[in-house]
Amino acid sequence: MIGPEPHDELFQPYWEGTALGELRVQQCTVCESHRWPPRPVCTSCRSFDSIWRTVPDFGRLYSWTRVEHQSHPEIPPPYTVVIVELDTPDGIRFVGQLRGGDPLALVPGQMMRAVFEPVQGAGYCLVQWTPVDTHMTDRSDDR
Amino acid sequence: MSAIISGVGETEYSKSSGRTVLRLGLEATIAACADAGIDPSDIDGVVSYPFSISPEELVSSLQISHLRFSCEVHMGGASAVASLAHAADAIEAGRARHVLIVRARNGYSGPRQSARPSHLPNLALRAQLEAPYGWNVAAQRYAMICRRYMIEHGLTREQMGAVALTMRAHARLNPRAMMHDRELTMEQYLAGRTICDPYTLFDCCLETDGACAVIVSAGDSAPVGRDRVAIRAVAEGRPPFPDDLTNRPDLLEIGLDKAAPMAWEIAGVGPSEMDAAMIYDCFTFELIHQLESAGFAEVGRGGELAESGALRLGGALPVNTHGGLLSEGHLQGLNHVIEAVRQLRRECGSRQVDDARLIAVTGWGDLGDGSMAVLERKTGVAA
Repeated sequence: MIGPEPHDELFQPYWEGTALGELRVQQCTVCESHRWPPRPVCTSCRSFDSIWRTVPDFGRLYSWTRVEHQSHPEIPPPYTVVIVELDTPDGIRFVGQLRGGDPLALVPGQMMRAVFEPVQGAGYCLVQWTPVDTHMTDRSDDR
Repeated sequence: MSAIISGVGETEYSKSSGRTVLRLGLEATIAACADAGIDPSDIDGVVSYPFSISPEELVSSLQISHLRFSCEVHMGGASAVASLAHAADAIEAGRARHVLIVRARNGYSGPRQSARPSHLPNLALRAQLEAPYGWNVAAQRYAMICRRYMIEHGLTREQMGAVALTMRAHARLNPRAMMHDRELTMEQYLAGRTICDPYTLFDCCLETDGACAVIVSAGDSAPVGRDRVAIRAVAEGRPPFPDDLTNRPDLLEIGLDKAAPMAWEIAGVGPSEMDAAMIYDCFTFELIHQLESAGFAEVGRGGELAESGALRLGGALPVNTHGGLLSEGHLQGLNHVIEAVRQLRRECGSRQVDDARLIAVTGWGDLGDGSMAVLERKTGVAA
């Protein structure tokens, strides 16, 4: 299994998607609602049947916090954690770190796009977020 | 409800207790029993906190002969207030006569939050989707809520600072408070270093070594004619998707939104009838948030209320007259219950709220779980 440790079976299809530069979430096969994070049951219709679907990898900035006091032994500050809301019908949101842009000049609702950062030797990517009008010179996949 | 809070007790609150959590908890428990006028072995019920002192250790240490009732409440900082309901219900059912709630920690001298094992729900979600991005402590989670509030309603640093200063002003009147000897000015507040914006140093609650305890007892155990502190109402609530902040449809929705209306309905009184309120102030903004949620301020107007001075002793709604988690100490909100009891007993000296009769106490925990109690002073009547 891949992904952050401890590995979790419920999240596998998501991490496999990140390795291919895709955002994937669960979709209920009965009522077709998308859900995130993955759960065993559909929170709309209570079906236990779901599939994984690729969703658009851009959305709008919903909230953020700029961390300056270290809380994670392997992640030194400063860094900015963002919550981005996709345009999918069910308002799915992702947490990630800001890439590019100015953390002191973020605007709620601004357009953000996913940046897939390979975790060395681990077979999956972390999904970070960059303002859409930022041109990053070191992106590995150019769209 | 016929249950009363018959005894309260605590240790000193410090940066270095020099004692174990169990020892601290026993000291507070024994003090609370003395205050209640009971022997510790009279305790026959416990509402415990997860991963802390077990009921079994209490039974052994205090030689409790028959612990007839026990349960554990796992709602983070909302647990202390929520526990009052279980204690009162057990007493009402005749299952116990003296129920203990205790909080003990070496929060300052022990490992800090980022080094402690997490007790949040859905640890898989935390590990998979949050920790890898460095989003892994309470301040960062609640800062995200605060930012969303700023986006929707606006909130100034001065308004958040007004909360911090109010807590500090109250602590200056409370010899037990960790910040009793430390003044805080708006200039100092604004100069505080950023922890995770919008939270800066003085927006964040203290860490504390110490313990406190509360005994909830059957109403008829109080001496005839003595004034009592009665538990008039308790309720708890959780926000939508309580195990996940990120995909909660409205990040500003909290458990207290459900708990407060239920508590008001049970109590048959409302916010305007409270003489004081003890609000779980893990961070300055969360105090404002809960004031609005419980109906003490209109949504979006909590910051103005803080700035107006209404929350200070002498104001329309004194809040956290002990200094709160921000300036007294962090005993997970059980210290807020104790301050409410002391106010209702008229034992608060220079920080006494005149003629205090009704006080609301809130709890906040985990990813926004909430609880609220309404405590009432009842003048002594014949049994």
